Amino acid sequence: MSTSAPQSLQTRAVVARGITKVFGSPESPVHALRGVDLDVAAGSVTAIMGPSGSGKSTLLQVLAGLDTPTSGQVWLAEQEITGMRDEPLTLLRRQRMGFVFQAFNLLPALTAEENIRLPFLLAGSRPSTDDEAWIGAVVTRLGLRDRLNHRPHQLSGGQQQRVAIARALVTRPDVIFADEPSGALDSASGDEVLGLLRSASTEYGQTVVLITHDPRAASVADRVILMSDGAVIDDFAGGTAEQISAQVSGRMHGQATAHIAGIGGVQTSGFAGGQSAGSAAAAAQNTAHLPAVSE
Amino acid sequence: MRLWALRELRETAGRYAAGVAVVAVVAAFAVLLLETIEVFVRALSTTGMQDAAPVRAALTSVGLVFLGIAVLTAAIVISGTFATVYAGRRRDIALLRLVGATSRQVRRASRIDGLAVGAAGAIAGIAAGILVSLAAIGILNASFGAGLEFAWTPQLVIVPAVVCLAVSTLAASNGAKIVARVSPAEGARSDAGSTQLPASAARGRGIVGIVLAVVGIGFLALGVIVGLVSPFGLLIAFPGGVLSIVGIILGAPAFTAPIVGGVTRMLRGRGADLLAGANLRANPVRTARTVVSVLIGVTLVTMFTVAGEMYLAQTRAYFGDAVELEQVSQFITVMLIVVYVLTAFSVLVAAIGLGSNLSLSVLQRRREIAVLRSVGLTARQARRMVLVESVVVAGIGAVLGLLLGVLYGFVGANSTFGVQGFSGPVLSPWFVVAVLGGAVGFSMLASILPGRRASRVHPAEALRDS
Repeated sequence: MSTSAPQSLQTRAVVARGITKVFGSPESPVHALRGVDLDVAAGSVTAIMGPSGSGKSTLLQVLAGLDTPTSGQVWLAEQEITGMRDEPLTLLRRQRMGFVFQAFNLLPALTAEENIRLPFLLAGSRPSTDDEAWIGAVVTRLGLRDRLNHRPHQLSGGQQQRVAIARALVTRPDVIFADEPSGALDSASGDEVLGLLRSASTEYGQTVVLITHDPRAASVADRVILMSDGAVIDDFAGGTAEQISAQVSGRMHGQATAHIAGIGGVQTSGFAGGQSAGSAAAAAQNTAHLPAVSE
Repeated sequence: MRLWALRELRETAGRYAAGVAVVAVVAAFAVLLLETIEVFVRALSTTGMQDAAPVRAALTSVGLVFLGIAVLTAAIVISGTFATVYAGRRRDIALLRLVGATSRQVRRASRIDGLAVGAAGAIAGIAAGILVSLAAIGILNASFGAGLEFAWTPQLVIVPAVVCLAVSTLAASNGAKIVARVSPAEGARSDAGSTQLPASAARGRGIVGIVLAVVGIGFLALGVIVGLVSPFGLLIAFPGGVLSIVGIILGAPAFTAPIVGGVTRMLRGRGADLLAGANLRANPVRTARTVVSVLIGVTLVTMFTVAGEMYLAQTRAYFGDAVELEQVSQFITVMLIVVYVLTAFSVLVAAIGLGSNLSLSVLQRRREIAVLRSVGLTARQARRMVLVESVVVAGIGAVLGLLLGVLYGFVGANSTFGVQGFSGPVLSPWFVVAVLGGAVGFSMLASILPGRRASRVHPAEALRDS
């Protein structure tokens, strides 16, 4: 898949090549991922969209090293993570990846501050003065200063997600993986959480990979990748929720028509490949415009 | 409701394994006890003893005391198991309440679990008890030509079956009590919700527990005073002991929480240790339950040891004659061994309780552990976390059990033999070392399986919807 345009402008935080994932028995295999290639530009927000069962969650797990692909390779910056053993991979997650889940992100036994500092706690290391300054800045930026001693159950859903974002940010990871981060929130809190993830990229140059089925959530992204039936079927520059919604329903409709016509997966992915060359150019354009947006 | 209860039971049968094991131990103990008494009394009558009835009555009452201790221990352990299993089902129960199940229906459904656990445990335990009895009789006959016969009586089955079903059903309904009060609104909420006892219920239990403990200690003190003039002091001290231990168990979270808090705050440095401490503090009820199961085992052993040692010391002072002293000492030592064997069943029950509490707490925290794994808890750290939780809880339980055991042993000895002179508690430092070492060693062993389970929780589980 020709997603090379963004890389010419920026370095890549996550790279995936030829990812397949097959579940089930050899007699009746379930192809969750059918040869996905992906390049995530450092500093960008990338939304991975698709209906449930499209493979987007499996892709996230593979990209984050939470699951091993049946074939293919994944790199985090320069480091290949496929084939890594559990222990070094866990340390890699601790130091270089951040996670924000849909719900139940936090440990009920720990205070908000302890949850935020969890990566340092797990390392058993005292944050450096530099780290401390950064933690302080993140806490202030996310408006959590007077919530630090609260336990998760004393916080609203939106506040809990802010704590989770703070935890993801404090290690200044190569990438933050966010799985439906606004899925369990009311729309105002959801927008706030999505806005904060957007700002993390705009203000701090943080790379974010966002999994969502919601065009509204995807509207904070620089680039949208649409998945269906285990394959990337579209790859286009972000826009408003309405634009994304229109693009997605158009593409999904085309996908359905292709299936009905009986030309199946091969034809579809070829079609999508051709399409994404153009989309990638649009993404590149969008990325190039980004600094102007943030000013 | 019954349909749901039966299906849940089938699907989560593994979680009741500890409950079944505990019931089986009690049933086997009851069978062995009854059979031993029966065989012994029959053997006595063949030696020409005219009236064996008083002997039978005496042996039966002593046996019942030890069976009672084992049953009490089992009741506490099984209630804990049920309460923990039900706490994990809180969301489902809230959903049932939402669609119209009454609180009473929830509790009634729990009786099905209680009966199932009781029946399974009783069948396994009675069978094991009879097999062990047959084997023991066979061995005794073969090696000593004892000429004993297996004495079949209907009580052999009736007593353990009734005891087991009653204990298990009561424990299940007691364990379901808290969860049956779950508000239906919780079923509609999407968050995981806390599995804590409602504050009011916790406070109520705490107060009842403290009152019982204070009254019990009053009886204990009275028993010692009466014991100075009459050997019947034990009759006053014994209910005091029962009241105070029940009070301590009911009010356990109230007094274990500050101790657990103090101890765990000393765990600094390693991330896994810190997490273990936070976990123990975060769920004081669950922690107290585990502390209590260790405490009971240690208290029992310590109590009999202290009382036995004190009696020995007193006897030494009483008998001037060396030969007579030798005989009496031997008698006491044999008695102590018998007591240890009888207590061993309760200790076994308590040990199963520790292991099952650890396993269940890992099972309930899968989601938390998955989050931890995803943000960088290594498999080794997960194992360490469970190990530290286990050792801290067992250590606290062992120390408290030692203190309580010394108190009970001291009161027991003085209320019985106080007439011959008041004496202070006697406790060998080796015993203390053995108990603490045993508790720590066992808790490390008990943490292996749950720890491994925790380390195998897949970090991707954190991504899934509840």
